[in-house]
Amino acid sequence: MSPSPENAATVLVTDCGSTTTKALLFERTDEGWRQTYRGEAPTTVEEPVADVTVGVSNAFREIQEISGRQLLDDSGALIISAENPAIGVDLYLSTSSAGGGLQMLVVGVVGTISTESAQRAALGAGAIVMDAVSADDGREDYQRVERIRHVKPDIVLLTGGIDGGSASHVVEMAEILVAADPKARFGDTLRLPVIYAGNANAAQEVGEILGRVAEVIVVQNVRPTLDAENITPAREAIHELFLSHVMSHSPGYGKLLGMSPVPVMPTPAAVGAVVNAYANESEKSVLCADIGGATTDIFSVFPDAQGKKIGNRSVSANLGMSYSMANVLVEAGISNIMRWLPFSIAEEDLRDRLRNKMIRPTSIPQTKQDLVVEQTVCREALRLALAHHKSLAIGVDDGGSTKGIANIFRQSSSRFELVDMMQLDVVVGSGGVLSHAPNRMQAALMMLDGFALEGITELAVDSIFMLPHLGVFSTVNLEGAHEIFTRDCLIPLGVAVAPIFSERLPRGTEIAEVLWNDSYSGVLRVGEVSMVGFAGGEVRDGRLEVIPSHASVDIGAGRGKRVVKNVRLGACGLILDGRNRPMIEDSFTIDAQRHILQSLGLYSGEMDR
Amino acid sequence: MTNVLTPSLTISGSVEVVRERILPMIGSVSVVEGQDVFPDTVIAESARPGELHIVRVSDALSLNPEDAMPCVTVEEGTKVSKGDVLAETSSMWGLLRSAVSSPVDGIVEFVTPATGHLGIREPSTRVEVPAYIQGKVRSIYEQRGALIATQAVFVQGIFGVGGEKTGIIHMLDVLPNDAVGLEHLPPDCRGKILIGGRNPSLEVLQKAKQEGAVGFVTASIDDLTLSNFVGYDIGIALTGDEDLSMSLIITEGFGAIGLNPTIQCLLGFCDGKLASINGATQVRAGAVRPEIVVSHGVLDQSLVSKLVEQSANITDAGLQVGSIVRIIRVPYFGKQATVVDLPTDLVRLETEAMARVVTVRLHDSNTEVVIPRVNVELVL
Repeated sequence: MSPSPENAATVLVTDCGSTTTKALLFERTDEGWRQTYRGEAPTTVEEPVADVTVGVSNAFREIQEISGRQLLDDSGALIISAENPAIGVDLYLSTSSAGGGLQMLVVGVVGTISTESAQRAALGAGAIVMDAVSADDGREDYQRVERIRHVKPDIVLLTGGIDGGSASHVVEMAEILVAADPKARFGDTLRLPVIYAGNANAAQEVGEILGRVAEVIVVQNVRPTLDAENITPAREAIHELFLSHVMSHSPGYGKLLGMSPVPVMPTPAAVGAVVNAYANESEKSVLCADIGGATTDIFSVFPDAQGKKIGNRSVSANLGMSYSMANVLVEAGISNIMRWLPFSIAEEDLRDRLRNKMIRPTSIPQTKQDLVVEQTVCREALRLALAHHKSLAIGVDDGGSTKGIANIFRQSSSRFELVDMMQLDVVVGSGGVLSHAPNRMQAALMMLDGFALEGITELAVDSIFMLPHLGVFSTVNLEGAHEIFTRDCLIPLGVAVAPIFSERLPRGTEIAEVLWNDSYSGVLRVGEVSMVGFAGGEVRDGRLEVIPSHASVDIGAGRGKRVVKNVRLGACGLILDGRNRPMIEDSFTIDAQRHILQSLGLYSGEMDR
Repeated sequence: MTNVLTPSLTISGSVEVVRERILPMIGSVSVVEGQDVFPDTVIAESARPGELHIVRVSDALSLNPEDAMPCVTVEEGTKVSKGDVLAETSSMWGLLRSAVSSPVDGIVEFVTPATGHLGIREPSTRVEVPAYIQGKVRSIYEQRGALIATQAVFVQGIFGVGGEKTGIIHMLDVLPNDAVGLEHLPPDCRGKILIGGRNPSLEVLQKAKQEGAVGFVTASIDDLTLSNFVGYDIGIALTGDEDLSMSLIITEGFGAIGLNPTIQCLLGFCDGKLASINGATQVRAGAVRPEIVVSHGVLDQSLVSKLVEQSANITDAGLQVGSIVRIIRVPYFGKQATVVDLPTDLVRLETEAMARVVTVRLHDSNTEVVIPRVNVELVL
């Protein structure tokens, strides 16, 4: 008899990504829960296979080969709870973002109120928001109708109005949806699911109007009053529809759903669960980037004006390292990609390389030069994704007690970006290009450059890209997930020190002195990037002190003020970045980039071939 | 050992091609099961609902919704013409009158008391779904369309733009490894699908399009040429809706790669025959690749027999020693090679990453090189 999910001692978890299916084995050992083996295989949602479980089985088979533990029976099926505890596993779990993930359209009345709450509900549920349509978005009706028809979402979330307030505006948005008559992405006979989470008084009328073209599911209002947000019911409805409508229409997902007693979780929702838990426990502000083949998700946890920690997530649906690589090229522009290169390459050659990665997404760099090309694209994808995230991670300072109509005006004037890079404590990188960078310093530099980190920031990576796996595992065993997270998942890289200072300081000027556990460790100079390594490169906790050498230098405590912080170092030690923010133009030459790589031990003559 | 899942595109002289031809909405099916169909045979037809126009009566009359409703002179289902009065109000003993008229011909679809709005739906338009390929109706989807099947020569490309087209194959007089120039275009391109060579310039593509070609199939293209041909930079590999009179299909990739000899040979057999092509590509989510379909029905019987026999001898046994592969990544991008070894242990690459590899002998230099397995694809 199989143990209940929470009592399972061997758990096999897959994350079915758009490019690769990653399988991890978690085992309860004498020293607690550990991640023990890993296997991966190309995701098989494409023709000719068109069955996600084939890639899943291939990933299982790789673990079976490496571990020597029999996981599959003669028919190739996963062995669950065999009598012999040395074979099979107790539990199988999975997350998924294959098939383009969950794609949603959000429709609301006021962009900065109901629509914004709806976006947070959708993003928090792991969706990609294809567009957010509001009554006040400045578009004409016909433009909204055309846009709604074009996006072909999996689910629509319709919101608007406070409970008991005027119904007319949200009903009007329902009318626009009827006019557009949107079709579901999968299954042309399927009625598009529309979740209504607006003014409760308008629910019946909205249901009658929309019932002609869609399947309407009514849940509680996301903004029952102006100063309250209630996104959990909408989020739960999204999860349910994700499983019943979206997953079941993806190739092979019916079989996948039948393999686990626990619902398959959208990958971003799983990662978000882990990031929020980590930020709450460590009491740090956290930024986490999960850069995949098709999309880049950014998660952040920062305090709001009242000091309450707010978790946010954004999905940049078309920024990624394989399927979406050509879109990074289009959005960033070729010159922004080329500026990071430490060697010369013809623009045409670079463009063709990025396009070829797009059409053959599972290929990998074989040469150092090609690896550098991919890592420059990553910098730009991170830069664009962070800008997108900042625009969505908005705090509302409602003054605590202001209610009613006055609050509407306050909300537009007191919205502020929650993400403050100078106050960021920890940045965590996840996704193949960061987790599997052959050299950990490469991952650190991609995040330092791409995010343009400021002040003092600890850098870490998800060791082998296991945040999604831990997220779904935490739903059945929170303690086990936490043990694996701290022991096997989070790899501290080092600490970046990147002050902001007066543009008038000439290149090479000393701008700050750095002390580690009260001992002199180095200086920061304008325009230079250097590394302070420590013998062995092992993880160490200590006291970092940065003393400005000039009154204009800000390291996070204000101009000219020294900063003392307890931090954790890893293989990359201290990275001292004197490029100012925004980065100075002369940082973007081939020689400057080559010099930076040389300073950090990353340059190789093979890159010029 | 782990199954080696090496991606490959289908290139076959004889394969069953089955295509669903479905209306976007309920309609009527015009064919019967077992019927022979041609690419332009109408499979099903329907009437697409016209545009819905929302008329804000309460705003137009400057009234609250509840006050506006008694002024509405039409009801759901009323047929109206452009200019017909939908609602009117009068004041000052009838001296001051305000009216709201219909912006279009149509039918009143809804009247919403909560908003004081009317919805007017324009007349429907006719929608037809053609067969696209020559073949036989295998089954019918009641009120929706049909499944069409044919045994065909079938070639998938790696990337394309432009939608479904039907035309006559014209093999260009150019070697597979040579760039296509203006001199290779035939004097009459009308209705033709031009096939061959690599890297046509923008001038070549525009000339072919202007001269009436409906398709262009070639091995490779420069990204900039593609962008200029389409008119914009394609960011997301989701194509097929471009408004192009000539669809373009790339079989190998971006850069300078010659045409796969198997494709050259197979499509060469079909020179002068009717073909259906579609440039639609969707690399993500259920991957759609561009295609060229030549039904056996348009080929000579002796050729069909030969193609069927040859195809029966080709088996996709996965990547193994002796397999012919194409390398899809620098530094050997585009080269063809033969597999000589499939080591099981992970190997450290120049990048310092550990990867499963394959040892291959390059056909052009007869040298052996080691390549990550994910960087090769089978040439069938």
